Amino acid sequence: MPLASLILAAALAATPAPSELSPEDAIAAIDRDGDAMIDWEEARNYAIRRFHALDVNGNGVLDAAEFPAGTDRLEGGLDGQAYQDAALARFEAVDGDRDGRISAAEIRAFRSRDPR
Amino acid sequence: MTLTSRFCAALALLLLCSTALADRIRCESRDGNYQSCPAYTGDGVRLVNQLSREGCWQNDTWGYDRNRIWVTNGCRAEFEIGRVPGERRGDSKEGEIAAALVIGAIAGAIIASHDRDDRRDDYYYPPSGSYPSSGRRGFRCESRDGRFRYCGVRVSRREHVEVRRQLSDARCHFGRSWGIDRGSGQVWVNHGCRAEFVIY
Repeated sequence: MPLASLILAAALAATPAPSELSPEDAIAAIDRDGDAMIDWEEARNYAIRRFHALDVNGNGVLDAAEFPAGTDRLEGGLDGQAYQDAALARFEAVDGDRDGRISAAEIRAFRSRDPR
Repeated sequence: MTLTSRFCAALALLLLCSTALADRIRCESRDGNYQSCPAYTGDGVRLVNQLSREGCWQNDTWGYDRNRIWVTNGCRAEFEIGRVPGERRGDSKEGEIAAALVIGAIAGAIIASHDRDDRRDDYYYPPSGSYPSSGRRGFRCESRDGRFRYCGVRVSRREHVEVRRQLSDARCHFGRSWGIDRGSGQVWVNHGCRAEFVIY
């Protein structure tokens, strides 16, 4: 399978239906200071908790066997730095007005322009 | 050009390059203790790699002033100082696959198969192997009229407390408007900080 298709397949497999959780509920799950927005501090802390939850053997790397079912795996594993880099890239993609905070409206806009 | 001058030119270029690149400093709070790491911070500081599951919250559990970076309450991280942001690996195949993994988390859809209770667990998952998952508990504590009070909750040195959600407009700032008594392990709030806390 060509690389691009592989990556697309991984993205499709890992992405839940957009209707799973409302943007407001998603924000509430991550929002720490109660401003109804997600800033990078909140997103990074969420992402790293998620990373550690997946890193069952606690070696600081998501080994191939620790990747969630249905996602593409990296044979060499994925370290926390790469995971955070990806989270930051994703955060910036969702943050439409680039003010460093994600609002419910920006999540809606992101879902409609990138419905994968 | 002599060999020596060529060598010097190369060395000068090397030095120039290294000053243009951002430096990376690791600073770690062990056992929840405060740690200060000397650093020149005049060109800014960015937290680029959080190592701890314990939260790293700017101006709360990490921060910096003129000549140091500090961390506390279990925050362990790598920081970049200097003007030039480091290279990101977001465009590589590795980055693409990682992006697929985190897409749900940051776009807010989180992980498909988890129900709401799972997500709460996910949010404060205990450090693997360190503490029993049953040890995780939450409580609410409020400083009324800006007054100091104990929360009636005691934590051991092995436990870690974090603000789950701030309820007050007044900031809940570790060490200033909330904290843990070193000796007794009692959690306290002050200066109008009202919040839900979690222990794990």
